Amino acid sequence: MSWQYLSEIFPALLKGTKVTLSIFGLTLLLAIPLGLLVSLGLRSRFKPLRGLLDFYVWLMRGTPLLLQLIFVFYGLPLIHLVLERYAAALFAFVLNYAAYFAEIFRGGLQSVDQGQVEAAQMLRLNSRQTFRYIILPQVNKKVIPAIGNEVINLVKDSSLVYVIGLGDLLRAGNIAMARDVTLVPLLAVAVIYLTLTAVLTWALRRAEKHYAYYE
Amino acid sequence: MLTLKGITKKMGARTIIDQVSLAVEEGQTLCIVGPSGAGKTTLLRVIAGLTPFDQGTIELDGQRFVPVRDNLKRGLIGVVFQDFRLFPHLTTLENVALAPRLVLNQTGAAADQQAQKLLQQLDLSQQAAQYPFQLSGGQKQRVGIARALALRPRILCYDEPTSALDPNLRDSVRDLILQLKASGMTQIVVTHDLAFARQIADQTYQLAPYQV
Ligand SMILES: Nc1ncnc2c1ncn2[C@@H]1O[C@H](COP(=O)(O)OP(=O)(O)OP(=O)(O)O)[C@@H](O)[C@H]1O
Ligand SMILES: [Mg+2]
Repeated sequence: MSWQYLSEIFPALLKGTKVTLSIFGLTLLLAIPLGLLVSLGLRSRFKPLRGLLDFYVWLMRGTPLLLQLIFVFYGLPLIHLVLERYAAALFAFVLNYAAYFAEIFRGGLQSVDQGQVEAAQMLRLNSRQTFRYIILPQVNKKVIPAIGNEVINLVKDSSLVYVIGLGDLLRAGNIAMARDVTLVPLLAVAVIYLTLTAVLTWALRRAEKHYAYYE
Repeated sequence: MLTLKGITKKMGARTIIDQVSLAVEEGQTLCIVGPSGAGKTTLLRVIAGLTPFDQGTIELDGQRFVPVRDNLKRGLIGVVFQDFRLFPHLTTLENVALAPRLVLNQTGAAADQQAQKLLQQLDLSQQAAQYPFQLSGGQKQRVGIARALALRPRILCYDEPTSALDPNLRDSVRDLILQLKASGMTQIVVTHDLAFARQIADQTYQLAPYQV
């Protein structure tokens, strides 16, 4: 394994890493708030909304992400809904991950004692203030470990975009391997994934610590 | 000045509170006593506006008062919960200063200053920066009282203020209630402890046990 070879494939791997990171980052940025909204909808008193969201979560969690990805990119065009590769990938990932996040937030919301809401009411906080200052901080503490697991999963799941031909990190490594008939690119890809997950694990520990100030 | 007339509360087919009429005068302490299950907590929740009632009327200073609407809007009646219900993620000071800042639109500095003053009165200054899990039962209760007082209610209600405390802390709750009374606060205290009621009450209302 020569440094020379590594530096030759490096630009391609870096480009792939950028795609992987942008899918990862944008999915988180969109799926976490969407998941929180869905979890609130799941507690709505309006039954049809609850039913619809329950179905959505059930569907997303009950079928493989790979199937959803193929469905969005190769399936939807059959009914004249054509999404460009990147948009298709992002669409599938956000929908899928929002369902998992919704389930996590649902658990977090359930864990907050109704008495906290009554105490806030007695202090005349309105429902927005109660959510923002009383409920959400307690939910955050509760959900961070579970969200963390999903975040790590997402880094690895992002390699599934390979199947719709998006030029992510895995694809970059695979192309170099096939062209140069060597394992080195795949090993380099593994090292990059490991670095990403290590950094994220560290960041998540920090986040958990941040909320560890109370019991 | 607070008057209940014929207040009835049902849950399903059961009548939990049956035709309760009572009046509390300004600055007085009313104790509501009765056996377990008599509906004491429920009555307190009705007065505070946490639970709607089915029949009867409530008046405050001769004006009709619907707690679920008026109290949640105007905050005339404060509550100290049996299990305190402090906000676990906020310090003692933040627990007390949060509502004045958000609801009375006080600046952070003004709310903190007022809260510090309340904490001092309630002997909690040392605990200002501590979180609820770091406090003793008696301290938690006093934070609950400070938190309710911070919104300047006209009436302060307590649900079983002695039940979660060591017996030797009973006297300090009594002293606190008497001290607030001396400062003019109107108080409603739910308790099943008759001896305690005798020590603090101007007036006692006996809630009959639920009849089948
Ligand atoms: N949310 C509720 N739904 C149905 N029944 C309820 C509810 N809350 C209270 N009850 C019933 O109403 C009755 C009175 O309850 P409440 O808690 O007011 O009694 P209490 O006098 O405070 O009793 P304790 O001294 O044990 O605290 C009980 O029989 C209880 O089972
Ligand atoms: Mg009770």
